[in-house]
Amino acid sequence: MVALAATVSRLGAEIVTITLPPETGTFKNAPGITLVNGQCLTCHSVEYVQMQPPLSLKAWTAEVVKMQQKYGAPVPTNAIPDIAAYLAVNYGTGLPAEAPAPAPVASPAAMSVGKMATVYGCLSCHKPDTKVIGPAYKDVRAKYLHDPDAIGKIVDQIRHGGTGKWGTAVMPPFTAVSDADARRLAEWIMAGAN
Amino acid sequence: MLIPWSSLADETIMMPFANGQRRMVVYPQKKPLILLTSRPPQLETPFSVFNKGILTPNDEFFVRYHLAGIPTSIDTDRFRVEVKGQVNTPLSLSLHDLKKQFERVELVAVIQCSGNGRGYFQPRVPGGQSGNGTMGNARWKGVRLRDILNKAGVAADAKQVSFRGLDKPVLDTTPAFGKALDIDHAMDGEVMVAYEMNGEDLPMLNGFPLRLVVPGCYGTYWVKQLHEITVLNEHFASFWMDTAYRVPDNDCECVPPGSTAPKTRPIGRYDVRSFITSLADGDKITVGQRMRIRGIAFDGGAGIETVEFSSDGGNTWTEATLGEDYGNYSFREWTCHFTPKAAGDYELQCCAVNRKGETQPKEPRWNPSGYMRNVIETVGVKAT
Repeated sequence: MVALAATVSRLGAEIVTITLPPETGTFKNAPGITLVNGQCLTCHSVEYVQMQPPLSLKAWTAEVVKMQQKYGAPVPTNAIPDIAAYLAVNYGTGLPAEAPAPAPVASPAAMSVGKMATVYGCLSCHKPDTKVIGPAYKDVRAKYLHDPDAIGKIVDQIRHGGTGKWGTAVMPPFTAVSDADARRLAEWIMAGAN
Repeated sequence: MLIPWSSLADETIMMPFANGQRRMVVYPQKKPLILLTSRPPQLETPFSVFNKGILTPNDEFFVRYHLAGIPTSIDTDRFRVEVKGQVNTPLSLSLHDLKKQFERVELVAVIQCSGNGRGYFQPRVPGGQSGNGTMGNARWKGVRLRDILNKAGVAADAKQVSFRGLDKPVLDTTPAFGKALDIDHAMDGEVMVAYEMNGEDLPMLNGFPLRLVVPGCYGTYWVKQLHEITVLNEHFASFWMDTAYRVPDNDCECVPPGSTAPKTRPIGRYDVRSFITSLADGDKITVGQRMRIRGIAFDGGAGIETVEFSSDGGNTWTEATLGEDYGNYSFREWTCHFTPKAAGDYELQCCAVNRKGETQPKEPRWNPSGYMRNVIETVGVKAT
C-alpha cells in the first residue's frame, strides 16, 4: 500500500485519511429490484444479502422485519411481503407453493419522473431541498449548474455510484436504472426536482 | 496522510458452504482479504495467514464494522476520548495525554468475532457468513482502563462502564453502536485502551487511533475509534447489549438446532478453540513422508494446557508440543509429527484443553445467532 501524500497540518500532528474502494455490488436484476434498491441499500451494501445461506421466505421475512423493527429502517409494513418475496426468489429457497405471487411491478419508464425517483429508491437518501444521507438535489443542481456535462456526470453517478464528492457517504451503483431513465432523473434534478 | 485503496484483487475464492463465493479485495492499509461486505466493511482473514506466525499481521487482520457511518479521517491532534458520567473529574484526553500521563502496558491477545465460523453452522443461520478467519492475535500497547478510570475517580455506586466509538448509523432511527462492561471487569487492570497494534499505529479499519482491548472476550466489546467512556450507576440500556450479541443462558451456551433460547445473556469470554494451520482441507500429502503439523490454540484467558492431534477422525490422539507462551490471551502454537503410513483419506483433527479443564466438543453446539463455534475442526487430506 502506498501513501499518496503526507500532510502535516500542525506541529507533531497529522490527519490520517483512508479512501474506501468504490462499491460495485448490485442486486440481481429481477422483478422487485427497484424495491430492494430503495429499501435496503440506504444502510448497507448488497453483500449483506448475497452472502446469506439460501433462506426460506419465512426467514427472509424475519430479516426484513428485524431491519424495520430493530434497526429502525423506514420500510413500509405493506412492502415487507414483496421485499421478502424478492429475496426468497433471488437469494433463497424460492416461494412456497401456497405463497401469493408478488404483485406485478410497473415499469418505471412509464411513470412521471418524480414517481420514478421514488420507485427507484432515490428519495430514500436524497430530498429536493435538504441534505439527508446524500446531498439535496438543489445542491447537486448548484454544483453542476455551469457544467456542460452535468447530465452525463449525474447519469454516471446514478449508474456507477461513488463517494467523496459530498462527504464520506457512499452511493452504491444503480445499474438497474436504464440509461434513458437515468437521463430523465438527471434532467429532473437539473430542472429543480419539482 | 492519505491512504488510498489500490486496485481490487479481482480474484474469487469459494468457502465450503452454500453461497460461499467471495471476492478477494484490497482495502486501505490491507493486503487482499476476503470480502464479506463492503458497506460497512467486513473483511475476513484468509486462513493460511494463521500459519505465518503467532501474531497476525496488521495488514491481514480482519475487519468488522456494524454501521455504515465509519470514520475515514482522524486528526490525531484533535482526537479526544471523553471520560464522563459517574466520575469525580470528567476527562477529555488527547492521544498525547494518554501516552504521557499513564503507565504504558503491553499484552498479546486474540480478538475473535462472536460469529467466527458462522458459515459452518448447520442448520445455517443468518448473519455475517464468515469461515474461521474473523479472528487475529496481536501485541497491543496502550494504557490500563483502570488507570484512566482512577484518574477520573469512579463514584462508589458505579455499576457499568459504557463505550462508544466514532462510527455512526446511517439513519437516526438505527441504534448507535455501544457496549458496556460491569465495573469490576472494567477495573480489572487487564482491559486496555490501545493505541498500538504489533508495534505500529492501529490500521484505520481496526480502530485507529484507539480501541478498547478486552482480553479473552469477544470482539464486539473491543470498541474501535474509542471516543466516549461513561461510568454509569445503572445498567447500560442498548440494543447492542440487550438484544444483539446474546447467547443462551445455560452451561453450554447452546440450544437444540433450530430452536430458540428461553433465556439469554450477553456474550462473554471465548470458549476453547484449536486449529490446524499447516494443512488445508483437500490438501495432498505423501505416503511414508514424515511431516510436521502446526497449528494454534487459544481460550478465554485460562491459558492452554494441552493440545492433542488425531489423524483418524478422533479415534486415537497423540499429544502435541506447545510452542512459546505469549501469555494466556494469545494464540499458542502447537506442533506434532505425522507420517501417513498408507494411501487414502485422513481426517486430521486437533483438540485443546485449557487450564480450567475446558475443552472442545466433538459435535458442534448450536445457537440461533451462530456464535461461539468451537467444535473440533476436521481437515480432510489425501495421502498418495
